[in-house]
Amino acid sequence: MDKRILDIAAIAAALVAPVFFGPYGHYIMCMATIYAMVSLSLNVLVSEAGLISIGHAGFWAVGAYGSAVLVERVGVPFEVSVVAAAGLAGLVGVVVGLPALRVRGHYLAIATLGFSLVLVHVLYEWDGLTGGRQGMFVQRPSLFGWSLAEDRQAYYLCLAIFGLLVLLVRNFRRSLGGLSINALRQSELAAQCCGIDLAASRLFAFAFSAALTGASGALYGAVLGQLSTDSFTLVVSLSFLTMAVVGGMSSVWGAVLGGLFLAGAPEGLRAFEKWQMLIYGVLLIVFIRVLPKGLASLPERLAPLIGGRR
Amino acid sequence: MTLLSLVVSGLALGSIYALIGVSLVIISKATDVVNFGQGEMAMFGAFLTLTLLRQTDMPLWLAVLATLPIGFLLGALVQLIVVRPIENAPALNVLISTLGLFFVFNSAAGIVWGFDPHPFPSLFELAPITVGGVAVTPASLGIIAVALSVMFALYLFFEKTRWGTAMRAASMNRTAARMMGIRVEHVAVAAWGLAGGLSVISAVLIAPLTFLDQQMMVSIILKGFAGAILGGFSSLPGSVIGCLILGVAETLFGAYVSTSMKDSFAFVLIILVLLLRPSGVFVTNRAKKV
Amino acid sequence: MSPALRVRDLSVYFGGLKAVDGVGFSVEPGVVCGLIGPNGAGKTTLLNCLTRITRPTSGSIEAFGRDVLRLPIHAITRIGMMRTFQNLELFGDLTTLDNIAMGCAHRFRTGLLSELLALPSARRAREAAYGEAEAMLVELGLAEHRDRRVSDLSFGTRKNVELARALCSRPKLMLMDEPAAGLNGAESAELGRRIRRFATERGITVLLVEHDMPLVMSACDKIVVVVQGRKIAEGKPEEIRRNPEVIDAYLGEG
Repeated sequence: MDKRILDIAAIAAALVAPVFFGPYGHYIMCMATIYAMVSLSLNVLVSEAGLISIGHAGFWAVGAYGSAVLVERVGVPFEVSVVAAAGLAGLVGVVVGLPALRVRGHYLAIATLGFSLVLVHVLYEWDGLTGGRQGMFVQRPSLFGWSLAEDRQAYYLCLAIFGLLVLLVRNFRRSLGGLSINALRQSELAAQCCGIDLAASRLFAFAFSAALTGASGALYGAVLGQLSTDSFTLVVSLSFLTMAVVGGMSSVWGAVLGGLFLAGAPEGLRAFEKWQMLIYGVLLIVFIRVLPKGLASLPERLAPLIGGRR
Repeated sequence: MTLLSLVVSGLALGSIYALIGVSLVIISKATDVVNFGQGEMAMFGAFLTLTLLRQTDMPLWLAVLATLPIGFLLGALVQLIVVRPIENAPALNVLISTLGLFFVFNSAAGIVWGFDPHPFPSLFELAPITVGGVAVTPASLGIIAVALSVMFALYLFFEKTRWGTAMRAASMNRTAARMMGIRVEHVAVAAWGLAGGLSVISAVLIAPLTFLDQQMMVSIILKGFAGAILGGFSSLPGSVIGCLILGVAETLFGAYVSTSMKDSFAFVLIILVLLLRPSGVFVTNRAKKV
Repeated sequence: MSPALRVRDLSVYFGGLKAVDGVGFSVEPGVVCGLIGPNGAGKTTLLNCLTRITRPTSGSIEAFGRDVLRLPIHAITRIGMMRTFQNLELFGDLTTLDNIAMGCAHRFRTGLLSELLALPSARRAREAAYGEAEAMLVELGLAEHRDRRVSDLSFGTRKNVELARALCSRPKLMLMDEPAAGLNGAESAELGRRIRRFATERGITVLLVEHDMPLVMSACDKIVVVVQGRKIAEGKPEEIRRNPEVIDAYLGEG
């Protein structure tokens, strides 16, 4: 099948979907889109640059609180605050990326993990800005002064922003810069001999990934309507990574499926009550074994089976 | 509390971290995985020990000794059932699987034993005594003593026994070890088992102080990981020292500066170390051969 | 005119071991210079110093009048230096064309922001880089492998890809680390003719680290001999061939 037809079908489905769901469904769809942005950002960092982060909840928090504070305290329009939040998260990403210049693998994992724990702690203690233990209320998302009071409307805004981010990532993947960062992952030595500045490239990969997650965070706070530091724990960082792997690392499809998974899995498991975490854990273990390249690789895995039946 | 008694309780805390940190290093050297489920496996093992205590009239010291085989079995089974089938998958996938382990053990403990904290009997007296003018708890001293003996036994195992030598060889170069006739698959199981035993000991040592509950190991595994990184992660003695330093530094910071910022302090320390001495405090940088 | 490469009194110590010990030589522009010596003589270490992978203990390196030791590793290609690797360093998951394009990407890159927004300047840069890569692909006879993953290619073909990538950076000074390793006699002779053409047609200065004596003797204008980290001889191929010290060193080895 032509891939383009599939893409168009997916876009159409995303646009029409709200008709079939109620307000709670719309909320879940917002969340799925917001998570998909994070998944996209991890695709850039892990799959393109070959770096790892167990601290993306930290960038998410920077985006969420950054946007909320700008809107609530400074009176900046929401759409501007999303861009600013992305920029702010990107800057923080540069700082967090500094260890990535010298260490990789386990070391980078602990550095990013440590960063997000410390950052969230600081936000928690900073009562005056973030409301600390009580948390803070956040205004609904708005567009050109119109408040998007219903999640159905917010969903379309999320979808539009997700579309923009996808374009950015696609441009990145097709550019010489994207090629260079990809090359750097495969051979640091050869890439540097080809004139690639390792430090600048790594920092950019971190900043770009962090900025995408920051934009997602801004939307998250606004759609949820409130923020507390409980939303940005280590478990959240880990579930981001899980979502990215479950969806599939190397395509936009993977990011979308990952977002749907993270938003949908708790809903699907809710009926199992105290068993839900156990089932979730078992599912993860089985999933990684059965479908290591993520949900996005399902068609290519199924193709031979279907072909065999004909 | 005086400085010295703080140092002692810091060393005790560091010993707990060290047992977990060393288990992570052993697993990582043998199979290239950081097992995020290690702490939960330890907690689960401690619950098994508690059940053993309640169901039988076994004396406490024997139950504590029994933690080793319990932990070994737990670790070895996990390796065979969960990790073995995906050993050639990308590192991130294996990591996600160990997250799955985290959820499985964490919630299984809750389902079987309930979500409330359980008191756990202590081998050592918890009330402080005064030794040479310094107030210390026998529990702290006991934890340090147990951890040190375990580490010494570990050292003897790796340096003096055939199995230990085989494991070291396999962690340095798997292909070469295989050619020398070492069964690398067995080494992987042994490493996970050994790590399982060590971490259950750490859970059983800390449980009397914090109570045994589902969440008790979550922050301890992070500190163990961090401490091991501080010491260079690849060297066992380095990792132990890193964990001890972390325990002491954290305790002193908590007492003199701020209790609530204690955890953040630990991680700021780690990040600084990674920026300044990326290969750890004790590993000297050697020229890399290309 | 300053020489293409001037190495002065270069030493590299690993702990107590002297891998390179006070080596000095220079290579004039357009010259093919061989660097030979028995295994473990320090040739690759020397090459690693030239490309900033290994930091020398003492000594200086100049290329086209620039102090190489003051440049970061990624900047040496900007002054016209490029190298190939003994054991190949390719980007295994990328296609042949992508690999070659990496050779010239740095000459065309625009800003990261323009790349993210896919501005016309970034698109033109990409087209230009891939244009040059395509031309190089054809020139080195790699067209049939254009869209294949490099890690799926044979060793000989991969060597060729690495050479194409290096040439694509339009080097003025090319450092080649045992390019003939793994090639048969005929392939090695072809390589020799190619290296001569680099010098005569493109004016590229070549520093050739090699074990293959027939190749070195036929392709090089001059040869530097290193044994146990020290330079023992330097001169034209026929002088080297007759040099008793060199004969000793090689007979001693074999």
